[in-house]
Amino acid sequence: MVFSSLLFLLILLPLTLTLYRAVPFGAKNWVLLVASLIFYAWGAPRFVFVLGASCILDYYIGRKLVPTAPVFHRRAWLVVCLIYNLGLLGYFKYANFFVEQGNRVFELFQVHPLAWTAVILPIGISFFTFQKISYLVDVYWGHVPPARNLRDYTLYIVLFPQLIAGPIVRYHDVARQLVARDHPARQMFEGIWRFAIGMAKKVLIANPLAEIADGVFGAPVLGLDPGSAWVGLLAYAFQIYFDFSGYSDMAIGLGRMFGFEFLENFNRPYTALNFTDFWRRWHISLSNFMREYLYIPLGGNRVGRVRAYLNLWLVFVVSGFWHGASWSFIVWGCYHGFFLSLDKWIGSARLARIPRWLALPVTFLLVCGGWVLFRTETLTQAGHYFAALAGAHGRPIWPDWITPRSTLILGLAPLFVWGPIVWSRLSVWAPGGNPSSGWNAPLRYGVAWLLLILSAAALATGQFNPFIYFRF
Amino acid sequence: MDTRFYKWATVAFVVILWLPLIQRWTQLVPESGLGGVEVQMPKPQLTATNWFNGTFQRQFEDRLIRRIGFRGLLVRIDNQINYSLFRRPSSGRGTRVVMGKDHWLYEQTYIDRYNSSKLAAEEDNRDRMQKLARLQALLRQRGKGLLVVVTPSKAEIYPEFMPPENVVPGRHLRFSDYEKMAPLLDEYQIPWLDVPRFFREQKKQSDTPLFSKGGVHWNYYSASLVVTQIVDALERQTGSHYAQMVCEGVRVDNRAFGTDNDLGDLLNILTWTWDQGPQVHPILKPVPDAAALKPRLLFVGDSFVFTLTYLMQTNQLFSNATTFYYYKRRFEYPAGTEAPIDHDQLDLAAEIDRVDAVILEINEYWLPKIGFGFVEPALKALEQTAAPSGVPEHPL
Repeated sequence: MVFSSLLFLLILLPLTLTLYRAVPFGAKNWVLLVASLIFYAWGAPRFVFVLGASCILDYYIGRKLVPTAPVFHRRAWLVVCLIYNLGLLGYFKYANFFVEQGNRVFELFQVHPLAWTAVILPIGISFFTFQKISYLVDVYWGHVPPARNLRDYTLYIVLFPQLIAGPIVRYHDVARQLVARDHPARQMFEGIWRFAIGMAKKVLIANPLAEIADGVFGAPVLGLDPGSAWVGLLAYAFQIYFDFSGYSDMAIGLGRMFGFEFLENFNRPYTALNFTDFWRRWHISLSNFMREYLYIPLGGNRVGRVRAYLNLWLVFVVSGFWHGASWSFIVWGCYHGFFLSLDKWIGSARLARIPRWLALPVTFLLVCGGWVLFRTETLTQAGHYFAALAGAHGRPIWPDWITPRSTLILGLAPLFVWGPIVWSRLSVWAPGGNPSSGWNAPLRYGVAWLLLILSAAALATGQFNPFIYFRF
Repeated sequence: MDTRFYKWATVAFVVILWLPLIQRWTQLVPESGLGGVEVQMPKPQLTATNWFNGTFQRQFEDRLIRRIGFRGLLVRIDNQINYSLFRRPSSGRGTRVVMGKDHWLYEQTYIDRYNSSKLAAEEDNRDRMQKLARLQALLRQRGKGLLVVVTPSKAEIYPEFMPPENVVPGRHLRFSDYEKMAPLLDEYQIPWLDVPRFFREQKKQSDTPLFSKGGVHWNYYSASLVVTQIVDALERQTGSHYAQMVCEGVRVDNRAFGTDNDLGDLLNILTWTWDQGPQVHPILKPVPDAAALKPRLLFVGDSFVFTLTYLMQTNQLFSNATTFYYYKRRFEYPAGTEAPIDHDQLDLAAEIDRVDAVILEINEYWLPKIGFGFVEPALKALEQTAAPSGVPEHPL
C-alpha cells in the first residue's frame, strides 16, 4: 500500500486515526502496530512473515547486546545479527544481480549458466534493514537501552509512516517517543498540513512530471533529440525530488498525527552550492545513517587524506548500490563520491568563494548528470543519453504524450524549487515553517484541504478509464 | 492561534476523511453517475491463494475505489481542471476523446483512422467479397434478405472541426479502405447502402447537422434517413411491403439525447459548463398501413446499430430484432435483454432461419472487419444445414 492511494487516504488512514484517538495511551502502540502490519502485508503478504520473524530475532538478540554483557558475546551476537539482516537484504535485493553477473562470466568461459528463478524484491527492505542495523548498533554502543518489549521494537521497524520509503529513522531518535509521547492538537494540525503538502507534491507535481520523464526515457535513446533529452532530464530531476520529498513530507506529517517527530529528510536540495552541500540537503536521513554507521566507523576524517577520500568513495559506492542492484547505481555512487572528494580537495574555504550564481546552476547540472545514470537501465543507455544531451542525435520533436498539464507543471517546477530563495521570508509556507499568526492557521487548513481534494481527484481520475460502450 | 481551532480542525479532518465511506454505505447525498462503461472487476474472494498472490488486494482495491462515495465528484473536478485550463478532455485509457473546434468532440480512434495510411490487402478484400456474395446466395435460397450498411465516420463528414494539430498533412492524397472496397461491393453485387456518400451529398444540400457536436455516431435525424433507406432496400430485396415511418420535420433545442452526447458524457466534467450546441431531433411517426408487414431482423454490427434499432423499435418498423454487437454480445428487441454470445452454443442456422433479413452494419473505417467474425461461421452453418422446407427464394 502507498500513501498516495485512495485506499490509504479514505480507508486505512481514517480508520487508524479514529481507533488511535479512541483508545487509551497503553493501547495506542498496539493500534499502530496492527495498522502497520496490515499496511505492509497488503503489498507483501508473504514477506511480512519474514519481517516479523526477523524482528523477533532482533529483539531477543538485541537484549544480549547491552554493555553489561561480556564483550566477546556482544560482538558475536552483533555480527550474527548484522549477517542475517544484511543477508536478507543481499538475497532479496542483490541475488538476481549477482547471479546475472556470474552467468555473464560463465558465458565468457562457455560454462553452463546457473538456472535461477528471479527473487521478488520485498517493498521497503532497504529502508527497514538500515533501521534494524541502527537499533542493533545503538544498543551495542550503549547509546540507548534495548526496546522495553517486542511490540515497541517491532513498531519501530514497521511503523507505517516510514516503513517503505523512509525517512530512515535512527533508533536513538525515536526510542523515547515509542515509550511516551504527547498528542497536542497543534502537532496533529501540523501533521495534516505536512501530509497535504506531501500528497500534493507527489500527486499534483511528481506524477505529471513522470509522464514526461517516462516518455523520454522510454523512447529509443538513439533517436532522441537534444531538446527532448534535456526536457526529459529536467522533468526527471524535478520528478524524483517532488516524488521522494513528497513521500517524506507525508511520512513526517503522518508521524506527527500519531505523536512522532521524525527528522527532516530534504532541505531544498537543488539550492545546494556544491555536492557536499547537496548531500546535507538530499535524503538527509540516509546521509546521517551512512555517516554515523559507516563513514565514522571506517575512520571518517580522522585518518589520512587519501584514506578519507577512499572512505568517502566507499560510502558512496555502498550508497549507490543500496539504491538499486545494477552497475548504473554503482557508477552513480562513484560519480557522487568523485565530486564529494573533489569538494574535499578544493576545501570548504575556497568553495565558499565561488559566487552563488555560478555554484548553484553548476551543481544542479552536475547532479542532473548523475540522474542520467540513476534513471537509465544500463550504462550503455546512459552513454547514449549523454550523447543525446550533447546533440548527437535526431531533430527536435514534441511528442504527443506530453500533455499540456504536465508541460505546465514542468514550467512551474523551477518556481517551486528555487522560488523559496526569493520569498524565503514567507517561510510560513515552507514545510518546516512554524507560523502562529491568527489568520495563518485557518488559511493553511483551507489550503491543505484544497490540495487533498485536488490530489484525491487526480487519484480518482487516474483509476477511471471508461469506454464509450461495453464491447468486451 | 486558539487551541480550540486546532482541536476542531483535527476532528473535522478525521470526520471528513470518513465521509466518502459513509456516503458509500448510506448514499446520503444524491450522486450522478459517471458516463462511460468500465471493465468490471470480479468480486474479491478472500482465500489463502488470493491473499498471498495479491489477487484479493487488487480486486478489493479496485472495487472499493469504484464504489467509494463522491468518486463521481472527484473525477469531475479533475476533468474540469483539464478541460477548463487546457481544453483537453481526459478519459483515461479507455475511449479517448479529442476536443475540436467550436467544442466538437471526436473519438481519438476515428482520428487515428482518418490519418492512417494502412490499407487491407486487395486479395483479402476480394476474399471478403466472395464470402459475402456466397452468404447472400445462401440466404436467398432460404428466402432471406441481406443488406450491408456502411456507416459514416464523423471525422470524414465533418473534418473541418477537427483540431488541426491532430490531422496529418496530405491525408486526402491517400486511399482509404472504404474507397478501395466500395467498388468491390458493387462488383460482387452485394446489396449495400453507401451512407458516407449519402451523408456527403446531404451535407451539401442542407444545413441540418448529421452528427451532433458531442456524439461519435450519426444523430437521430440522419439515422432516421438511413432507416427509411434500409426499409426500402429490404422491400426491394424481399418483394414484401414493410411498415414505414415518416419524418414530419425536426425540432431543434439544446438538449442532447442518448447517443447525441455519448462522447460528451465521457468528458465527465461539472456539466453546467459543457456547451452541447443545438441538437436536432426528428419528429417521426409510423405510417398507418394495416397491410404493411413488420420484418424480423438480425443486425450484426457496432454501436451505430443502437440508433437504428431504437428508431425502428419506437416507430414499430420490426416485429422483433436481434443485434449481434461486435458478434460478442446479443441484444433482443423488444424484450430489451442483453447477454454475451456463447459461440459454441450458438445455432447460427436457426438464428438466421427465424428472421427475414440479415443486416451487416460496418463503419467505413472498419470495412475489412465486416461482420466481426460472423460471416464465416454463418456460411458454415448455412452450408451444413438445409433450408427449412416450403420457404420460397426471394425475388432478387
